Formats: sequence, C-alpha cells, structure tokens
Amino acid sequence: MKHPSMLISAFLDGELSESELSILEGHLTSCGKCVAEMQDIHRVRSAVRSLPVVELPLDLVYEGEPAPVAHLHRYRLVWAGAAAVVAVVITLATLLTPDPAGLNMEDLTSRFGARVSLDPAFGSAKVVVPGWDAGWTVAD
Amino acid sequence: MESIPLTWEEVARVYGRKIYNFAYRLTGNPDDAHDLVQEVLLRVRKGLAEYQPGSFDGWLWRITRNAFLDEVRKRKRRPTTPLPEEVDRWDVASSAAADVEYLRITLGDDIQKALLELPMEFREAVVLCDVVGLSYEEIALAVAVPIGTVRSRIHRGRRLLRELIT
Repeated sequence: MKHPSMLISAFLDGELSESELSILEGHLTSCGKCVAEMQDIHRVRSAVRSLPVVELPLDLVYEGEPAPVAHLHRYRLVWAGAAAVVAVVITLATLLTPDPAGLNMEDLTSRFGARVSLDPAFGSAKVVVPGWDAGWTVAD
Repeated sequence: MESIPLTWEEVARVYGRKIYNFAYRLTGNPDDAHDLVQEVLLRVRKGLAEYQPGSFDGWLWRITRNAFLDEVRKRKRRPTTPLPEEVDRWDVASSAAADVEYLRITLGDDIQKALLELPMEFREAVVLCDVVGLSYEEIALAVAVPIGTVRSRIHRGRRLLRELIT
C-alpha cells in the first residue's frame, strides 16, 4: 500500500487541493498507520504553535523607532537651510549697501550723543548721510 | 492590490515582534535575534522605496531569511541555546498553576532545543509556518522554492521533531 503521508502536514495546515484531500481522506479510512502519523504530526504542530510568543525587547523597540530620528533630520535640514538663506541675505545686504561714509550707529551716537545730553534745546534731528537715503532720526 | 505598510515605522511596529520570534526560534539566542531584527529593519528601510506592490509578506520574509543566512555565514558559528530562566520558573512554581506552567515552559524548552537540531531548511520552513504563521505560498516566496518543496520540508521537519521530542 502506498501511503500519502506527505500530504498529512498540508492537510493539517489546510493546504491541500480538493483532489488531494479526497485521496488522503479515502486513505485514512483504511490505514491505521497514517492515522497514527497524523495524530503525532498534529501533536508536534500544536506544540510548536503553542511556543510562547517572545516579546520584542524594549530597547529594540526604541532603537528600531526611526520616526523621531527621521523627523529630526528633516527639521535639522530645514533649519540649516533657513540659516544659510539668512546668512546669504545678510552678506549680500552688507556688500551691496553703499558705505555711509564710514559712519555707523556708534559713530553717530558718539558725535551727537554728547550734544543731546548737554543741550536741552537740541530737538529731533534728521541725520542725512550722503548716499544713504534712509538716514537716522535722533530723538530727544 | 493588497494594503502594505507604507512607512518604516509601521513595518517595525506591525512585524517587529514576528521577526524577533522568527529569529529567536531559528537561533535560540536572544542576542542574535536582537541583532537580526535590527538588520532586517535596516534592510526594509532601505528597500521600501523600491518595493513593488505584490506579496509584502513574501518580500519581508525573504529579506528576513537572507539577513539571517548572511549573519550565519558571517559568524560561522553554531546557534546556541539560551540559558534556562530559573528565576522565572521558581516564581511560577509558587503559584497554584505552577505545575501546568512549569510543564509548558519545560516543554517549550524541549521543543526549542529540538528545533535547533533540525537542518536549516526544515527549521526555517517549520518556523515560518508554525511560529510566524505564513501560508505555504508565502513561504515559497520567501524561501524561493516551489510550494511542493515547502510542503515536503514542513512535513519532514515535523517528523524529525517528533523523533527528537519523544
């Protein structure tokens, strides 16, 4: 008698075709050896399937979580890009802005600050610097 | 078209524990399983962009299996069996259901040891089927063999387990 025992595991796993199923079922009705093997294989299969599920170690969950890292990298790039743009704008503004005769706020403060503090009659004054449209207003 | 996890995070969240269990049952070693999960998730992260819709499980487990085989080749050492967790056993031994639980754990250890005795082809087929819960078709995709071979490996693996356990 030819034993279709290789079909037993597939039968237990629900992986047999209709024709294979009928072959095996027909055989099992008259073969105690294959019935015994099926019982054994069923026990082994159940035992492996009942192995306790091992939980993922917490550190692995943490290490394996890429979202914060990915987002962090993304935001870092955004901030780095923004900083680069600001730096370029400042550099260009400095280079392209006409030099107000070497004047700056410290110069003006030193020139007019003393007069403002010593002369109460000194009112608002428009400081006009050639080549510099905006100028500064020195308040009381 | 099947719905697939779109992000790395979702793959890690949905499949991380399964991959860890696959690795643990295949290696019998928590450290190796830990390393393997990390390696698999890295490969998934790199490969997701090029993933073509199809069997995501087949794709994922193929990556997992390849990572495992690469690791085995790299280390060139036999898998080790983890030390028994005596403390946990004594803890459960004090409870009412101690006998049942102790038997379950002991039996689990025996099965784990028997699994490690199986040839790799049989072991991975049995683990993918009974631990991970893949269909024969998914296993065939993952292992890159015909379904008939998967069927044969699973049955022969179980037969060997029966002999090793009894």
